[in-house]
Amino acid sequence: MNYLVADWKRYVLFALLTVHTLWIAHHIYLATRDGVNPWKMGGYAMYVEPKRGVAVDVHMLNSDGTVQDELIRNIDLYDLYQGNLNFNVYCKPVTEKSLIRFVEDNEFLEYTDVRLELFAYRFAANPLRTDPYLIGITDIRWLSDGRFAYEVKMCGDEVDREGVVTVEL
Amino acid sequence: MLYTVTMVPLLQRHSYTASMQLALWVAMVSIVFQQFDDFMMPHFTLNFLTIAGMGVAVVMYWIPTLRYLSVAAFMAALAVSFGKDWYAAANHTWLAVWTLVPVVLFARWWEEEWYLHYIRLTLGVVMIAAALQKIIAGTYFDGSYIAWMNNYGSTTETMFSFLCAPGEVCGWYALLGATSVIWQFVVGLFLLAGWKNLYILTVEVAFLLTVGLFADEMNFQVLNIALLCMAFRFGMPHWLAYICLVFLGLDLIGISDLVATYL
Repeated sequence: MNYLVADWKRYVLFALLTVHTLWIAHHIYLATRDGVNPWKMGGYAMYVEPKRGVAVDVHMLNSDGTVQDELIRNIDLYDLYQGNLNFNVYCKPVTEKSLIRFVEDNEFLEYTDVRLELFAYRFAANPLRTDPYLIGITDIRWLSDGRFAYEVKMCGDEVDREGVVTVEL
Repeated sequence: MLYTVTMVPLLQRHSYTASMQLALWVAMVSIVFQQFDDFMMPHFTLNFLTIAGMGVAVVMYWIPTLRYLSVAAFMAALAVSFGKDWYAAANHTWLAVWTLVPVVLFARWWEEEWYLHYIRLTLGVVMIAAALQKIIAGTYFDGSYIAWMNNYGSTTETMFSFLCAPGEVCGWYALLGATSVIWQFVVGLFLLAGWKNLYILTVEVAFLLTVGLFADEMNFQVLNIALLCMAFRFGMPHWLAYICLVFLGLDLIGISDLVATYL
């Protein structure tokens, strides 16, 4: 028993090494399936391909549900990124809290229905290029009295998260 | 006189303890340099405080009686800084946290077999995993990623662009890529097996410094060099510490910018 107590630090090291190795293996699994940013989240796949980030395009939604081609510019996306792990985990649904912050950060979008399109980039050779591909869509539709409904689809057509939120405007 | 001041410290033989402690100090300094951009932000944020704390700790490290305290303070600041932005942290910050934070468990870590095994095995796993990721992606054996950097990278990343025509993924890039991956795998195997080999370490240090110059990201390579010096139990000689510090200083300015300006 005394031996076990005296060696607790060694067990800590063994546990750390085990957890680290398992996480690396999981990261390899996720990275090979475009599930995670290879450059981030502690998986050591940096310099495997060009730096990846997720781009967020914001478009206006028409009342009939169609999307306007033109991008809305000068959008403050800081809290949206922060609230979603910088989108480093590609299929993780956009959080409700981050959408509230997004709306609060961009007051000029109040009562404007918008679609957020999230793009990641895939590296390809012959010719050398990075191709954008859609990883997720989030629609924000205003109801009334500071309420909006949202619908989040990530990595597919199924709705991953939806709800109605009231914000103070 | 000049010889005495400049050359003698470089050529002196140092004890195992001193050279291992120097390696840890250089690893700590590389982390401070890596986070320097955050320190220069105009806000008095938690990041600012943690980096300032790390800066004070690396200075305190030179007072022998405060050495363990400085290491503990540094690792606490590193853990807090990492905990706040873990999802945005660079992978080498993850590596620093995994390998260095546990050092606080041992006041005389350089004598602790289990900690030294821990660093060695962690680095071995990381090297093998990094090589595996490159093999799975296939971007090194076909040379496409080296080609990408040589076509679209910063000034230093285009240093091998003379090997192939613009936009072309030629055999030279594939050779460079494959050699890098195979070498990374070999170093990983040596670490996992615990083969202590000065030649491997020497070639790896030269390799890492070259990669650091190429990618203009020296702080990561210096961290790796310091950790390898600890893992292989050779410690870090003064001359290597000087080289690392010079490269960290250049990295702060931006090696690509310096090359573009003066060459």
